[in-house]
Amino acid sequence: MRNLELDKADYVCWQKLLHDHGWAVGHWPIEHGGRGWSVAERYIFDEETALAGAPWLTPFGIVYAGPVIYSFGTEDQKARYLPGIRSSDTWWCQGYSEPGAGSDLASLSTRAERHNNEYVVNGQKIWTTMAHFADMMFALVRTATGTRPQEGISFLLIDMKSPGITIKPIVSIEMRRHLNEVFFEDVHVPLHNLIGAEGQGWKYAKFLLNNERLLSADVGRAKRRLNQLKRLTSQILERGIPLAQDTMWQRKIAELDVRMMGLEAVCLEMLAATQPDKEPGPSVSILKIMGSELGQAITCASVEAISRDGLCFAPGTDPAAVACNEFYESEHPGIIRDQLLERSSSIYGGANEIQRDIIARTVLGL
Amino acid sequence: MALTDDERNLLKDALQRFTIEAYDDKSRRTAMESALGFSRERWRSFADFGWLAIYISTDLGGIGGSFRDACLVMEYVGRSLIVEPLLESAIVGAWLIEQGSPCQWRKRWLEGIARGELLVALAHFESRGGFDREWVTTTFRKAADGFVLSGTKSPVHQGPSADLLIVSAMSQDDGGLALFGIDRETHGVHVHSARAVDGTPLAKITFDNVLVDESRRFESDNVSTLLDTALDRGALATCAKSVGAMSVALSATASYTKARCQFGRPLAAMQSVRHRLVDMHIALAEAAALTSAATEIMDDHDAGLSRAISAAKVRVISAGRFIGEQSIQLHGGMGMTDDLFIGHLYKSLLACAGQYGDSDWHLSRLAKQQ
Repeated sequence: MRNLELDKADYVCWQKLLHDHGWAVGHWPIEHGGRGWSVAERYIFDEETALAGAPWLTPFGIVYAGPVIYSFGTEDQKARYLPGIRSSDTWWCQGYSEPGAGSDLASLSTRAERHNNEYVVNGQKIWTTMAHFADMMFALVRTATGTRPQEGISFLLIDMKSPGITIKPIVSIEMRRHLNEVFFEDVHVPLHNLIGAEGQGWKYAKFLLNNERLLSADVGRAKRRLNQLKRLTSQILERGIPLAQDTMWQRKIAELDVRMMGLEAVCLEMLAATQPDKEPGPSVSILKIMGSELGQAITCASVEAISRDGLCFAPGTDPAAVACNEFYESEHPGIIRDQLLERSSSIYGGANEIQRDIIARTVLGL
Repeated sequence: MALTDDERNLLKDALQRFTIEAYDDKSRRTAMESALGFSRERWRSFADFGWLAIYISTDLGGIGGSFRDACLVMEYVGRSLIVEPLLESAIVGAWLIEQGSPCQWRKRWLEGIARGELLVALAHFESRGGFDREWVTTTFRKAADGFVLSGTKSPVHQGPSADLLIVSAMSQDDGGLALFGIDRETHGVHVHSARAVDGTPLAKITFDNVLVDESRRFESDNVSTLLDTALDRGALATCAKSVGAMSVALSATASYTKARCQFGRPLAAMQSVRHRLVDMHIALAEAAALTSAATEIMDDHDAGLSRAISAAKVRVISAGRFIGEQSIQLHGGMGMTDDLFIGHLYKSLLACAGQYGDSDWHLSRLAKQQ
């Protein structure tokens, strides 16, 4: 069965399996428990797991929090948090976006005020993926107001069980509850949960965002979805003949194939040019744009292919709703969900408009 | 047949008032999430307003509106995403019944539709045929007191709640195409329900040696042409609905970009955002103009109707996709939430794009006419 909806236990189970083989944090340096994979090795791992349809490797601990902690954290922080990230015993979430700070992340206003030996946090985060699963959050909070909005931001690790935290789920258009609003009301956080220096959080956040963008091409996932589309067109009939035999569909798929080759070529070229331990630079914005737009084109074509079957879709997980779907997505599970969800790929992690601005400014010097 | 200008203005006022005052998002959702998928109570009030009789001739107890008048209703269906099955019952169903149903049933069925007592769905498409209008493998054969019909129809939009199914089938005796009006409750009719991406009910319906009375066979010389005219009306009605949905999406998105500030200024101050909105506006203008042009050709019985309808459908689908996607994009994370109407408009546009032929089907039809 493909494209199933997964729960926390499924993700943890998969990540623990990887951990047993030393692959969960294979891209971490050896001294922090990783395998010290090169960028190319990591790319291969990501591509192969995605191609095989493996569960999403939730990045919040493994890709984001971990590297920030081993790069900028204290020895105590490393000892305290890295083991749980490696073994997936601790679930992390990312406290970045706020209602007033989306694309303009630096305008965030959640405050952390110092009282004696702790911070008191007040404010709100939004779009926090899987916060309801999380044990810990890494958050950007304002500890001071500087002349530039990027000043006075600090990087704080917050225990999600702290009193004063309220999590409110957001139902997204694909009818899942994986996003959340997180409210902070006088939440006490020990001073030793600060990463690096107070007010330097933006620096660590940029480091992390670059880690996020490197992954954003999602070549493996796009390949898997393209394969899935090819499979669909060989099964779905128009006038009794598979779509795959229709020249219009053959061209559509050929065009997506060509775009796939283009994305992969750009990706591999950038990979070859990336120096070890160097930031990949602003050109990864190109990958974010190409990857998200191709992902959207492929999932759109898949929905187009199945549209002749009536686009059956279960509105949520409410048993009453599911019960009225007697042939709910039985033939093509997850196709519509993926297409709807894919709309967010040009929004999260810096909307494509922002990525284009970055390229205009830093690559073309406009 | 058409409403007078005064009548049309009254209809427009009524639609506007109803959708603004009575069709709020909460009651829409409640109706959609119910087992039926819409509200019987609302359906009765539509009957009282005369909207269910809009496309039925006056001599058969209807309002006698033109297709343009029916499309006005559909535009408001799109603007407020009305979940009640107006398209299936009051337009496609009513048209087929008026044009071809057996004399002895015609008046009764049309009155049933107008009064909101009879829900109709067309059970024509079959899963192996896709969007092909000529693909019918459901069969019927002559029996002692009528016909025996067998086959599977899917998808049947609004099939789960329909009282009357209009079913297409091929004769096992002479290979001729026929239409039958079959009560859903008839022995041997099995309805498997589901929901489409926009929340509307649809069904896969199996007919297992269903006995159909002789009087239920439609009286048309050319059933295939009759079906074509009905499916074309369905296609054009989805265009009108999409135009309504697109115009709401565009104005909501334009307002949002004016109110939402990032980097110390409204999103709408950014040229890339302004230009995108302008492109959305142009796409909508084209889609609306093509839809209204096709509607006029239909009402005036002018030549080139199928060409005009396919052209409208192709450009409406492309505009719907662009406007729907960009409305989400420009709303950012908010656009991805079920709370906001934008996502519902997007899903409705997606559903409309896959009804009565997709873009490829209509392009192929245009290509054949070149």
